[in-house]
Amino acid sequence: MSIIDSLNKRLLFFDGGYGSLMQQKGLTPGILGETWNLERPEEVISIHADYLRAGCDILKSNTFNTNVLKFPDGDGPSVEDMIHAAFMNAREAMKRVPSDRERFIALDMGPTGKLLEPLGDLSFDEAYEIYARNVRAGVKEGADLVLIETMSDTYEIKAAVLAAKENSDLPVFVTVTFDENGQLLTGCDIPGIVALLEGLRVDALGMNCGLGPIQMRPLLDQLLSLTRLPVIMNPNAGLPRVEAGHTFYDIDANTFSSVMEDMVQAGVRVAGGCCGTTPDFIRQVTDRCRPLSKPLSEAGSRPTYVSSYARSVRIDRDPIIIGERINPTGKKKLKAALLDGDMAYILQEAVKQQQAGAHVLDVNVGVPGIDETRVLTEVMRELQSVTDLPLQLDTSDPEAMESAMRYYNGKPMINSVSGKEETMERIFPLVQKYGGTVVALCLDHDGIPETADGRLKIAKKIYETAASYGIPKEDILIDGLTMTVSTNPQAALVTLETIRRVRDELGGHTILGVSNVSFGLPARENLNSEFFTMAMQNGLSAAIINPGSASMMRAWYTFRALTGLDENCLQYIDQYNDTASKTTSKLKVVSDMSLTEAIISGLKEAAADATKKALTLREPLMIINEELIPALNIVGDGFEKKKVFLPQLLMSAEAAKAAFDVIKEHVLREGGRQESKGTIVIATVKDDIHDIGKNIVKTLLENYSFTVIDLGRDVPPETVVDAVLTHQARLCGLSALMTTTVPNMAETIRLLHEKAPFCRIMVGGAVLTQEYADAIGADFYGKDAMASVRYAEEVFKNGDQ
Amino acid sequence: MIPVSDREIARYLGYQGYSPTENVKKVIAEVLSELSSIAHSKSLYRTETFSIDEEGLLHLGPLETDSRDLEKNLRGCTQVILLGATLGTEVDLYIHRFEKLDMLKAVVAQACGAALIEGYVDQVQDQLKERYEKEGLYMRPRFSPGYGDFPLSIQPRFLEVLELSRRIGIKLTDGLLMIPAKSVTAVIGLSPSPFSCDTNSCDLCGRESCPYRRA
Repeated sequence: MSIIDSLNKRLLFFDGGYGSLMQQKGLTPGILGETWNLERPEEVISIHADYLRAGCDILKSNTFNTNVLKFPDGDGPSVEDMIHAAFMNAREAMKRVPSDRERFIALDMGPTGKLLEPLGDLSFDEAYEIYARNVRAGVKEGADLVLIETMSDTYEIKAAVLAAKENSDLPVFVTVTFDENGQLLTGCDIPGIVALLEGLRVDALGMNCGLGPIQMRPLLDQLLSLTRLPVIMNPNAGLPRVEAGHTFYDIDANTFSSVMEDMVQAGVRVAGGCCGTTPDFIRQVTDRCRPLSKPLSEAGSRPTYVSSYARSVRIDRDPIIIGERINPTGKKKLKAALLDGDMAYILQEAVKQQQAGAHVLDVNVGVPGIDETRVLTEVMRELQSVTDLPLQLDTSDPEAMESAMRYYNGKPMINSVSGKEETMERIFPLVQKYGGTVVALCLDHDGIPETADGRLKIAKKIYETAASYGIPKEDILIDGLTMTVSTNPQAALVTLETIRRVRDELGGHTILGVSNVSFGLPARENLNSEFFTMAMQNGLSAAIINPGSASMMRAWYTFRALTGLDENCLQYIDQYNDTASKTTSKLKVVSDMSLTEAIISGLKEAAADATKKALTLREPLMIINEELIPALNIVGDGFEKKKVFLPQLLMSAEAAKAAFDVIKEHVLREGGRQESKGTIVIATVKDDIHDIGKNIVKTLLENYSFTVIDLGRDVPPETVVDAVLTHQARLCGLSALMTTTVPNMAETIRLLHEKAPFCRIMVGGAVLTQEYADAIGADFYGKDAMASVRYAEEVFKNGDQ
Repeated sequence: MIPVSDREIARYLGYQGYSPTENVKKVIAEVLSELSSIAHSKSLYRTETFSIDEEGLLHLGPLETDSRDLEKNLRGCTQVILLGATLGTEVDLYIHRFEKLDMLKAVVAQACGAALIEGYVDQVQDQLKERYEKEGLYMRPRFSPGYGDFPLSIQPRFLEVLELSRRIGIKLTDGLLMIPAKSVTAVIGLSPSPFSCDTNSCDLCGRESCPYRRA
């Protein structure tokens, strides 16, 4: 019988903590307990056996820290050796303590111990590989399930779950560590975790470590209200305190088990313990709780959430706004940005929409000729590094969709399927694997039905097909399809009827792209915002709109205030209370400031305005060479003479950037290309992750019209050389912050001299000095960002690029 | 609220004793308030015995090091506090976000983040000081891996001993840097005799041309 069958029939019990028991038996703090699997197997067996005697059903293999990062190959026992030994020990304990009940051994996997990208230096694929190796070894040892526990990073959870599912058929249990506010260390909340884990189709989920049962109790209620899955609770023996080198926990077995009993009555299906719990704790838990055992009852419907790594958004009666601006259709500038890989522009669009009030951002990168698989994933990752809003992945290319879904951190929205079988056959298996809430268009091979009846019929078919993939109705958003009233006067009414009936008759959620309704008519905003209100009144759950539109946002705030969705009208008040003063402040004083003055004073808007004015009179290149750069030089001189400090230098740089953006847009409109003074490759060297200095240099170099190829941080020497060769860059800038990474800088320089002798190398960073730079063979030491600019100008001064 | 010194922020921004202009001050105030609201400051410590063996090796509970600079700092101590503290990943994310959107804010956030973590550790240390002085133990200035000859290579063990990774989320890169970047690990000596602390942590560093050096 599998553990899933047992779980359906009865309560199951995990064992308790291992670390503190081992330390009592003499394990030094800071030494990994897994080493005892081989060195002192008897001790491990005896702890396992004590837990079995206490009545537990599931033993955790002693492999929490067993991964290739902590047990590197070629340095003692391998991960496989360790997992083998751990399972031998667990099995031996089972043999010594026989039982009538069926019992199980879980392959225990904890965090890798490293932080994943973008903040950390472990890639998603590396994390996946680390876990996959453990899973393969666990399968070989005959594990009954995989337990992924003590997790605090959603991305690492996703890597571990995918590794478990793609390398075994074993049931997967996941428990995470919340703080008292119900947040992970990386910020995700309980609904976000449930959305992620249910999306990934794990078999049971819950909490362990971090807190005692008393602190977990209120979090449990929230968890139970959100998940359909069986819930696991493995708390610590209270909260820890350390005295004289020993860790103590603040509650006893009696208190522990009484709270656990209460939690089991509330609906917990798997109970056990974590740090500080002993066989006595588990004995009391099983004694009290086993009599409460009963078969698992079917969970009812649950609310729909989509999530990012740090935020969850509920889709329900309170309509949400999905920002539509990251979609190149009809947007020249975005198209150019996507083709040039100009992330800054795309990221600005995202931030603007978030500030305007979007809850989710649609991401579409469909430009003819673009490698959509690569670009969609890249843009998605960049977006996730600047915004915590959940994303709606929008592509018709199934390969691009799969890649983006795999690397997305959280549970995304998916745009879209329709009533056509082939779209569902492509997308639903992906949703089944990675999780997602899907936009479903009410159209099929016969086109768009003209009546609501016809559209509902398609919606039903989509629900049925989804169900056959195990996708619940809650994860489908029916798009009622907004048609143009100028060609069909009944169009809006049919759409409204569709969404109303999906809500009332099918109990489903709905979505609309709103603005199509006004196509071909004047003053479109009037129609759009009124139609938006009508749609919300008819039960719309989500709207794909431009959150930058004041009239659309007004419709949203007003609707919520008038329908009891905005408690005490607080958000409405917050938004419109000072409308009067806001409008006056927005009535900008048209500045007469020259571009030079604006840049020196570091005023972005004034710089942009001055540039627009200047462009009516002069050529872009003249503006750059005769105003923009001289102004930057004035500030730069001040910086070099220590009359101006870094923040002001950057303020001017940002103002110059605003001016450049205006020029760029102008040039693009005229069909030209931006002039460049030359291409420079920059990177922060391998193992160094502090790259703010490099980014300052980049900002300034771009101000001075250089094209900067930024390779980021922690960049291996070979990657730098490849980029220099690919771009035939005559200058390369390297930064290092730590003494410990300067050797990697030296190696990069050596390799560049060998493979790309035409390239000059400038270096900078906190630990460097002129002498150091000379010693490692750099051509130039930039003591600050301005110095790098001066050197770049010198290298490229003869004009050839 | 974490106490933060404006002068420290200015020093981290390279002002070398000068005062920021009004418009920069405005940005500092804005960034500082945003960072304060997103920082999830957490800390963890444990007290261990301290001894030096005949070979001159320092034993800080289960940790060992032969740092002479640390030895100087701990002279006369019988115990040490091993401390880890962090502002959490949100502050890092904030800085990263603005590196892509607005370098000025990124640089100011970098400085404010540095001042915040130092201010936070000071706060934690003040609480510990009060507690230990009641027991008749006096604290030495904190000393972190990477200061003087106290090597960063002790960091993996240091983090394991305090379980910093799983308890408060401090992790290491391959190059032994901490993430979240705004984190601190430190050794604080406890001695039965009072100690007047007027040393400046910059004195230990050989980089005299450093723009951030305290005068």
